[in-house]
Amino acid sequence: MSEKQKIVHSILAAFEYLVFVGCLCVGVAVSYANALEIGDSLPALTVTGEGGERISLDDYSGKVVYLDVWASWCKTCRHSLPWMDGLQRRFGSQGLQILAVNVDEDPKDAQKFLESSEVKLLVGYDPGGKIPAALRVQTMPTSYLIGRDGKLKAIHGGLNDERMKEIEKEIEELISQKGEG
Amino acid sequence: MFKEMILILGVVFIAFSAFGCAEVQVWERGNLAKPHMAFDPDPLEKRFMQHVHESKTASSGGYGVGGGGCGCN
Repeated sequence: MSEKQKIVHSILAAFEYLVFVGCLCVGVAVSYANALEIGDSLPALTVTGEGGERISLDDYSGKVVYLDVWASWCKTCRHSLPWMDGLQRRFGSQGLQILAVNVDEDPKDAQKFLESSEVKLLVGYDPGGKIPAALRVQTMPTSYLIGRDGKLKAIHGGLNDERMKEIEKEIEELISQKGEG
Repeated sequence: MFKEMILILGVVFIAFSAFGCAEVQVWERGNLAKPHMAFDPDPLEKRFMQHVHESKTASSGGYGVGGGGCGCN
């Protein structure tokens, strides 16, 4: 092999390596990038309700919306539902609307769980996972706190006692901002 | 020259094959979270086997990590 050929092959090999590594980096960056940032307006989201009705985020404009993405197979999500139910009872009259978006592949699994619990939340079903895909959910559960102005105020991935207190505080603050967002 | 072409084609093929790997999203892990998908679906039996192992080898600890694949831990 001549010197010239060697150089050409080395350049080709380096180019391929760079393309490969570059594509991997782009792929990783895209998959981990959060689609939404605080202050953004949420895209038009619709889910199917318990009785087949259409639930849209727009229906709750002017309210503080706590949108939670959950599944019946996720233990943390199961523990979070009674807590969210308590929040809805506590702050519902002051303008809080909790929308629990279930992403079970078979909604019957979620319905079975809900029947066994005493949770009376507004539950929407998204078995195809369109909403978590649009919101780039990376943890189960993930919740989105939306102000009265329709703008995203907080994103919470995962849940624990500390986080619950933090969310309650945020909700209280948002509710007190009547009409200002 | 022919060998190098094969090598280059091989690298390109492997590179493209790698992009074909699909990631299971966190909301799609319902099946992975099922008990029978765990390495040790019976926790009691696992604990019993560990106890026997610890007794026989005079060692303990170092078993597994938290989480069942649901991405919630």
